[in-house]
Amino acid sequence: MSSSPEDVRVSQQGATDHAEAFCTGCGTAECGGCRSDYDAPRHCPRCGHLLRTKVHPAGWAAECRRCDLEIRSP
Amino acid sequence: MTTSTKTALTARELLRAAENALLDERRDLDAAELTALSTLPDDQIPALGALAHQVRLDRCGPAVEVEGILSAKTGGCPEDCHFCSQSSQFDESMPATPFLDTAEVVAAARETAETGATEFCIVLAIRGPDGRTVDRILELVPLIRSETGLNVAVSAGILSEDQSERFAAGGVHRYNHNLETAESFFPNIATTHTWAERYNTCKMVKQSGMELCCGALLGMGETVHQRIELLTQLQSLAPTEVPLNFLNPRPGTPLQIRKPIKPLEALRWIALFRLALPEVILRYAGGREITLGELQAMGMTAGVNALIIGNYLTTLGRSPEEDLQMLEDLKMPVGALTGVL
Ligand code: SF4
Ligand SMILES: [Zn+2]
Ligand SMILES: [Zn+2]
Repeated sequence: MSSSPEDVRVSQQGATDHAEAFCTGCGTAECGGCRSDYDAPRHCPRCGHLLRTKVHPAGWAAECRRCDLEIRSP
Repeated sequence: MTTSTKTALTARELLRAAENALLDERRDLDAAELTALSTLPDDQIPALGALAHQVRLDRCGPAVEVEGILSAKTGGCPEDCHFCSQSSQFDESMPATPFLDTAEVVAAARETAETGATEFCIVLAIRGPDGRTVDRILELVPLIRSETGLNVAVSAGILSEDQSERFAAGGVHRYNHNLETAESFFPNIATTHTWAERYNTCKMVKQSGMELCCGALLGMGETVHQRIELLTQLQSLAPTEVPLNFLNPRPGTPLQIRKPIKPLEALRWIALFRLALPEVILRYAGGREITLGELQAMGMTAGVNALIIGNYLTTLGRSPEEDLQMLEDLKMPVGALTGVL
């Protein structure tokens, strides 16, 4: 089952909060959060796999095919 | 006389000559004149920008055209443009997403219309469209137009003559196809298609009766001479619009090692683009946030008269409210520039 956006908190401004096991910028577990304000998430916060990310004018939505996770901008 | 006074005098002479050419004689600048202006010292860039702003007001007026863009098919592109995160040719390629469904595309157009924008561009990461893709786009264009009132532009790669004619007949008022860089630098940037293929599509778009939107990407390692070469190549195409992108080095691409260009350098080239292309719709496009940071308003008074609002194709922009506030503070009205120029 997919998680709701509330299950994994990912801010559009790029801060990695404590709910993320992997950096959404580089996909590593060690990184403190390198995603910039102007990047949509690239890696899954749960498993670090590359996300399929769709960006639209007012936000973004991303899904991880490996762990069946969907996240979107607030 | 000190060296710096000499330089300042030379700079004033150069700027005066450019002003005479553009505002009095009303002729275009040639490569030699643009090259001379490109050598002005950094402390003369505000003066260069001021001249570019005068030229923009004289030829285009105060209005700013605001546009939203949408990547309707992302990633998986077979081409190898070295700056592009959507190419499938590099090691850490972005996973592809299929063509968005109609509701998603219309929703994105609505988001754009809500900002007061007048233009919406549907962009596809493909070499060129197949028959089904052309059909799909031609279903979307009138639908978006009737649902939102926006002018609809399309960017779908290299076209055949027949496809170009079909888009024109189907209500695509502007077609985007970027030269990106000078012909002499292009082999460093892509090997799966040629600069000539891009140039030919651009010419075909105009012949079919669509407005041509033909952009540039600065900061890929091209020389000053090659930027001037690109300007003269754009002069020869005479596009309606030029979106000006600054490289935002993308992880996993061959150009990830490059650094974004410096803010003053970006402002110098914004001004030079305006001086080379006095009547064009010169649009702020990708990379402006990371390149210019706090100096984004300066571009609006150095030749820019259009911007992409909201997010880009795969990266995020600053908030629409910030851009709209900037335009209000500058007393620049938002309006369509189609057919005005
Ligand atoms: S053709 Fe367009 S989408 Fe494809 S790699 Fe080049 S720039 Fe990217
Ligand atoms: Zn990281
Ligand atoms: Zn995952």
